[in-house]
Amino acid sequence: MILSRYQPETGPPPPPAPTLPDGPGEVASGSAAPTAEAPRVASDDSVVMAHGGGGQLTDQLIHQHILPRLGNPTLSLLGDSAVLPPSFNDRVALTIDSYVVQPWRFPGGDVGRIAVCGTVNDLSVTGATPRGIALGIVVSEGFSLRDLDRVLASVAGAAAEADVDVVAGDTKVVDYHDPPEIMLTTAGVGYRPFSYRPMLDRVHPGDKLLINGPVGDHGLAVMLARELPEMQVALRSDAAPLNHLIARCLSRTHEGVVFMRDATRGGLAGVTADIAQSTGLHVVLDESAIPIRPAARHAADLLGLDPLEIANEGKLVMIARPAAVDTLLMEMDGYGGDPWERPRVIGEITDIRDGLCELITTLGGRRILQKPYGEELPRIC
Amino acid sequence: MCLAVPAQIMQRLDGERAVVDLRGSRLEVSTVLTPQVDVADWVLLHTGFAIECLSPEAAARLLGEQKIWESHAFGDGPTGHLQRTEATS
Amino acid sequence: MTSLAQPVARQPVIEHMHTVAGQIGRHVQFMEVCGTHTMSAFRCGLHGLLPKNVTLLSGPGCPVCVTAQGDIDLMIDLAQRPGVTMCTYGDMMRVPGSRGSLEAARSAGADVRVIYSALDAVRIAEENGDHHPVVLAAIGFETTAPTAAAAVLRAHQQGLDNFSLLACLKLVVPAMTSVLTLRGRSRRGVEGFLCPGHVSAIIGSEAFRPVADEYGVPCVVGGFEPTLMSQAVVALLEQVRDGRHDLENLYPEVVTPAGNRIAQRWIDEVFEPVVTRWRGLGTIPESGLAIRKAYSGYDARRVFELHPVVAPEPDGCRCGEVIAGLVRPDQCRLFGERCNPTRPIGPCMVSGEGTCQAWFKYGRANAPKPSCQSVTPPETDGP
Repeated sequence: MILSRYQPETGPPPPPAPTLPDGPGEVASGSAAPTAEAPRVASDDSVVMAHGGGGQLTDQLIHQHILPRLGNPTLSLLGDSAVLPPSFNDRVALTIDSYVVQPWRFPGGDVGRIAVCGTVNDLSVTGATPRGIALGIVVSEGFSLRDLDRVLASVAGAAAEADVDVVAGDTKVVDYHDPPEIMLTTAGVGYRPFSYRPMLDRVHPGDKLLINGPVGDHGLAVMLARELPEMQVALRSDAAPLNHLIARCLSRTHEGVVFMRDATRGGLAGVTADIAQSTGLHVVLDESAIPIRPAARHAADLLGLDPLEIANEGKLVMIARPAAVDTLLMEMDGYGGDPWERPRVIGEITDIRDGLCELITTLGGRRILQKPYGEELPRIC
Repeated sequence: MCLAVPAQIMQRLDGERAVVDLRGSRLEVSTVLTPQVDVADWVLLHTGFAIECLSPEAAARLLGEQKIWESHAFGDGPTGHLQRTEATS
Repeated sequence: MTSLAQPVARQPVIEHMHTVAGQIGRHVQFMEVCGTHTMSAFRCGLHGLLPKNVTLLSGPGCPVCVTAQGDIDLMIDLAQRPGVTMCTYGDMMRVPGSRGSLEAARSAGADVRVIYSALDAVRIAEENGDHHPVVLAAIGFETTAPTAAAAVLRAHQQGLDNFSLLACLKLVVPAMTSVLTLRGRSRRGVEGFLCPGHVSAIIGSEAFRPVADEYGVPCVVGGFEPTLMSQAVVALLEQVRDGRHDLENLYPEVVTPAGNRIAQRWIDEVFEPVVTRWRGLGTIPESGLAIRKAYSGYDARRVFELHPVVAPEPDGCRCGEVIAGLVRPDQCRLFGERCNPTRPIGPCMVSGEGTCQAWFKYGRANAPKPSCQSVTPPETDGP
């Protein structure tokens, strides 16, 4: 467990701080001059530098804010590293990602939720079962403790949904105040059965592309919250852990699931263009089969964006053998009432070897889907 | 050239402003260019301004054009065989 | 097994388009004068569905693209002045000026805000207080012009001294006639205009009457959904087949003959038509909007004593000719390798609805066989 203060690279050499609760290694990298500052008056309701200083206030942060929400037998040991049970027959999967969404809270979720879902999903799409998450928090001085609690509660909620523990963590406080005010980094470790290998080299012509629900909701909800803060947004982020859904699919057919990827940044277009490029095969998508909610389409029209290029946080693109499609659609369909949430076949792999992804439009036209070129700004024209 | 979407007036506010519905989302917009609008009227929205009034039939037709896409999402598009494959394989 | 790689059955409207084009039996060339049409056509794959003898060119309909280099430089220079807050639409942020862009100016410390509505800029001015000038870089056509007028009048009402507007607003009809004049010198002219739906909502379909009557070029006002746009192309083809040059309004849901008279009055109250420089089309009389004397206190050009700058366009950039429909984007030697959406050189590559970006994203000629008929490259029609 590493909970030390932010140390500027140019900072003075750290003096020893024997009262730190952390291990000796942390003492060495820990405190710099500002630890000597008296805790600010505002510390009752907002984050101050000393919360990251490794002293009593850090202790307070851990015991009053973090452990009550994220505590579990491993984390509560507050060791220098989390030690997980062995798994002899499996391979270890490891992933890391940072989350700097602006604003940190948006309709349907917040940075805490996507930090857990993103990492759980990155593990799951490689066929691994998530076993533990390490959470790094970088928060600006002045960020309210109540909001920090909200973020931690979201982390806890998403982790509970995914049935995975946050087993290690670290908090740093920084003294700059421009957004983003809070950044999370999550690393995840998972185990993947030795026999299972969802890899792109297994992709054959004739395989089908499946998706588990409507695209665009997350990115558009975030963008509306950022660009039109006064708007009451009907869209909700789709952020959700996909590990249970994937486990259900894999338990029915290992062989039928050829490859998986979650359609995050770059959206559906980014993932499918990537698949085409990496396999060298021609991927065809059917626009009329791709579910996009009316509210999402309307929002995309309003901002001049293409829903296919918008980020999702709970959408799985699965390539499946044709014979397994029916079974897999049934296993993916866990959402009940909302017809938009139904999983669907949206395209297929063809035997043309050009490495391009093509979209058949509702008009019956065809266009090439490419990876978007980085962040799109909303337009008026 | 100019992005604009249909929206429905939900509430009139002081100062020639109104709250409009955008497929479930609500946004406060300016009605200085369409002062005649009333609650339940349809307008065309461009950069936070209602720039023109639409008849309910016109709005329905415009949204209907979008609906063609939506209905495809549930049934057969021009390439509806994908979903048939689903049913038969 | 059926496969998505096989050709797809044509929609009835496309089928009809092919029938009419067949009856014409020669090559015809139309122009859409609206960037949203450009974008919509590429997104729905319309170019690949057009009959072989029909070409749809993109015209001067992207406000970012037609903004003269000198005006872009003015915006960037103004943004860099100490204390100035520059408000702009997202479209403008990454357009390269002679030195840098608004985005680059912002990362260097300039206060540049991306706004959604012109009134946002007025609100920022109210919040900023008297000694802190706020400038709205007003780009756009007649659809956006009344909103810019509303911003000026709102600032006037509030008695704001720190709000001003850098008017780079343009008018559509003079640009269309200018294209006809320019292309008159080329081998084959534009035989029909797909008129911009949302501009028409403000100015009314009758505004295009002179183009149809005096220049003898068919004009069809069309909507933006793929089918509506296809129907407009069919209507243009039918006019050519029948030897007519009429004004047709196929977007009556939104467009009336007279347009929104209130919006027109607002434009007229604040702005007056002036000679304006366009990228690609040069200087066109009565084709831009400048702030009237009565509101000169809100005219950034006067407040900051800005003098019109004629800046050279980027070296080798052919955006101007692309805007005028004289060359295809891929005929520019910068296209692709040196100028692309990641590192744009010309404005047509920056804007989401710029012809070059649309070509790069949706229409590159590397379309696959046999399924994709590829974007029919508009026939070379250079001077």
